Amino acid sequence: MLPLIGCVTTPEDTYSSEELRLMQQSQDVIGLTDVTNESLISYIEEAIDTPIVFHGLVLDQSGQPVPNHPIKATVFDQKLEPLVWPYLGWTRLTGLSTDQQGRFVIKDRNGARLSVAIDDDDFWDINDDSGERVFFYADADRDQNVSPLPLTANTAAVFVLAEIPGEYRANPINLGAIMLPASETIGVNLHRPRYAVPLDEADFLVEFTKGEIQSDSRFDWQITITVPAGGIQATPELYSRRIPENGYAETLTISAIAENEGWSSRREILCFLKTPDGHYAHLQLKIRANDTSPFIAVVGHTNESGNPFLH
Amino acid sequence: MSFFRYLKLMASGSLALVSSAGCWALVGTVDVNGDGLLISAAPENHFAPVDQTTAERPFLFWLNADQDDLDFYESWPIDQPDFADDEPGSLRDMEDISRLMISSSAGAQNLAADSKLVVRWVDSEGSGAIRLWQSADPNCSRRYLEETSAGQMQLSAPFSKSLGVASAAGGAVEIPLDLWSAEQRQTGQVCLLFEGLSQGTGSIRLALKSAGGEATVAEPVHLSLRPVKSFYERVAVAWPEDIKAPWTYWEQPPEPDLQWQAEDMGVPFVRPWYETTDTIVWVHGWIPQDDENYRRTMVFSFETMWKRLWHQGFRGRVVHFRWPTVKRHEALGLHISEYRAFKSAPQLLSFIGSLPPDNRIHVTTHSLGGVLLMEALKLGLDVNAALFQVSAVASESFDQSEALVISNMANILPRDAEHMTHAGYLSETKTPIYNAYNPADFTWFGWNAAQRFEKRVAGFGRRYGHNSRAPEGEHLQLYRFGFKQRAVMDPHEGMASAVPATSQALGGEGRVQGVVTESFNLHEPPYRFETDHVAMWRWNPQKVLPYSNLILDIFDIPYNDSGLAGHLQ
Repeated sequence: MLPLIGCVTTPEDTYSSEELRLMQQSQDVIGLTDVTNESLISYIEEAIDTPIVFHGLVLDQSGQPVPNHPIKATVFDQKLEPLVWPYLGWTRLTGLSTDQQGRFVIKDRNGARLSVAIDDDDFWDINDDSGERVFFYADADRDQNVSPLPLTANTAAVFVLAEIPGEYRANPINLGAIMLPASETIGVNLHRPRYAVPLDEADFLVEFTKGEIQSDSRFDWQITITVPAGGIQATPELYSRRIPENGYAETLTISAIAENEGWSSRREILCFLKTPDGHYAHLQLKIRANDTSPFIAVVGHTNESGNPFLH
Repeated sequence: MSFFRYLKLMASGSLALVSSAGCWALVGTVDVNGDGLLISAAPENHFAPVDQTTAERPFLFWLNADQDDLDFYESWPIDQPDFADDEPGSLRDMEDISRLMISSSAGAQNLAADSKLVVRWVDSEGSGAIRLWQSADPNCSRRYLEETSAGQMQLSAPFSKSLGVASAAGGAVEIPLDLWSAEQRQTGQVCLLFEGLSQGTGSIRLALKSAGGEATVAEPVHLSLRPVKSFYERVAVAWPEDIKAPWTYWEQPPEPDLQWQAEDMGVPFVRPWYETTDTIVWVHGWIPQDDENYRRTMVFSFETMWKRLWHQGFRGRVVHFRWPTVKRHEALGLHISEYRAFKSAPQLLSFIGSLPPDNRIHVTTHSLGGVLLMEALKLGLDVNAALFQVSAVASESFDQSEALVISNMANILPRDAEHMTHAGYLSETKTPIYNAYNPADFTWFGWNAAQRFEKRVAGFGRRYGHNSRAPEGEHLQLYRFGFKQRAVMDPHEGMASAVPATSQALGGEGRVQGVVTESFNLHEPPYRFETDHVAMWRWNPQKVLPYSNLILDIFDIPYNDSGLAGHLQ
């Protein structure tokens, strides 16, 4: 069997078109500019060809090494084809963990950057509240590093593992599908699944409008999310551990024009939410504006202690 | 003072209770509308509809006739069906159980500890019977189905102990209300779980019994209990016995004359009253075909998926589409099955063409069934959506991007359409295609090995090869003991048996675009299928309900929550 394993290629856990699509849609929301010039192509091709060497050390709060701890690492090692934002594709490294001395090494890989995270369900990296640390290896990006790259065992990046405080823990939200009557405003409460709630008991409001169905079965549609006395902001990140405390707007509008080439009745919105009660949430709002049974599905997490951390 | 002392007959003919709070009645509630919630009266803070059964619109549920007595997967053969013993068999058995909430019509009422709840079954057709348990969750939620810890609590004493079987022949079940704490009884709500033991349509009649006697105090809850196979439709395509493997023919292989037919398996499909116009057609993967193993596979896999979709609120029709795979021990039969998948595709089109034109049709397939669905799309299948689940079909067939090519596979044969390669085979379709993939799935090791080492080998003394000196269009050839047997002219034979894929399988590849609308990584949360090719039905429901939601979401079909409380909070 061993020689056969050596001859057979198996898939790697690379980025998916779904992830890219979500990020590209979010880009539309926050208005980033497309960059497609030759210098960008040249930069990407050079950047992903940079050798990566990374030495890490995981300690507990008393300074003792943590053996056999799983490590989550992602190498940004591919140029997207077609070249669209976020331009770099990635590969997740699997099966990585610390040795008996709490150390781990990543090498024999090329890539523009490397992200490393050590958190799990109960513990996190006390030195970093973003959930993951990003290390820039491409020459053009190295000035973005907050400390020298950990290229040797003596200069290893140190991660300190600590138990996650209770007030930082988030509760899951999974409301299932809530129907969207056209030209009506419905209320959504993060604790009441499957159906709308009275507007005065809602965490946010959703207004869905739909135009006439055209001969190609397309139609204009628009969703407006409103958080009265709170706020919403779109994010290109799928999820992050800490929610921003500023930068919220009362409404967010998503439109789909029937004539547009990329028209779809399906959209995802990744967003942070600050409820009227001052609670934070990060949500994936799935809009299914189909002609038969349009609905919005809501999944995510919320911290009901008013803390902006969501773990 | 017990409120039973104030029991009095109401003018309506039913009996109600009078307490110091006024006149009220008990209400029995089941999730008849399938939204995952039990709603006995219109709530003020939520627009959830009330669950109200009638004789014409009863709560439909299936008999618990499989054997979920293992920690993982199911037992076969079924020599001890789950309904034959008193305790729920396992976490998996939770999907064969449903909820009955009994509450006060007037909100919080103190249910007396020294009284009993009487549950009686009244037949209207057949001889139905249900077994009852106390729900571990006083809020009557579906957590036993959604969370492993809640399911385990339901499997533990005292909740695993049966409260009895209600049937017309066996009589009523009397349940002491002191099973519930004083605090729970003060809410005026108690929660039961039940399973179906025997087929029949009837109603549950609830009563409260005290020292003063018994009184009927609730409207009937209408139920219909049926074999699970009556809930979904089956069609099958048989392979003609006289059509052999293509490499056995000296001339070009004959085209098989295939026809789909209804497959009732002794239990015909009966259209439920609630059926919507959404239809999901499920094309299975590489499965055994002998009667025993086919039935087993049906119960373990598709039937389980049907239950999971049902629990997540799907109320359309599901159709199991059987096609003639060949699965012998080890991996024998893979390539001939791929060939048969191509040939069976017109029958999928034919069957879907027979469905009512106003239905919203969705097609999905698992693993090797991807070949059949791909061919059907190439032949013009035009449906609402097509979902490929961890499909064993070349990703390059959907997207010719060079990024998908495996470098050490690319030069085995020329990669162009003239040589029957997989690249770009499906280059256009009107149907949106979705790809649920798992790069860690152990299957891809075997699939890739089969592409590299097994394709081109065609039984004893025969192999396929490429002869660049042969006339144009005849480069692909079948050899016997090194001598030319014939040219390969049929792309189905070429792709199934002679030409290795030069990319990963669609089910292992997330980067594929081309005609694929979206891909979903099953190795990532919330699915986390690890290396399991069949986690969606092999694993217990508590771990995989989000996957059922993914299927429904892809098909634009509304679905229930899958991990929140499942009840009003």
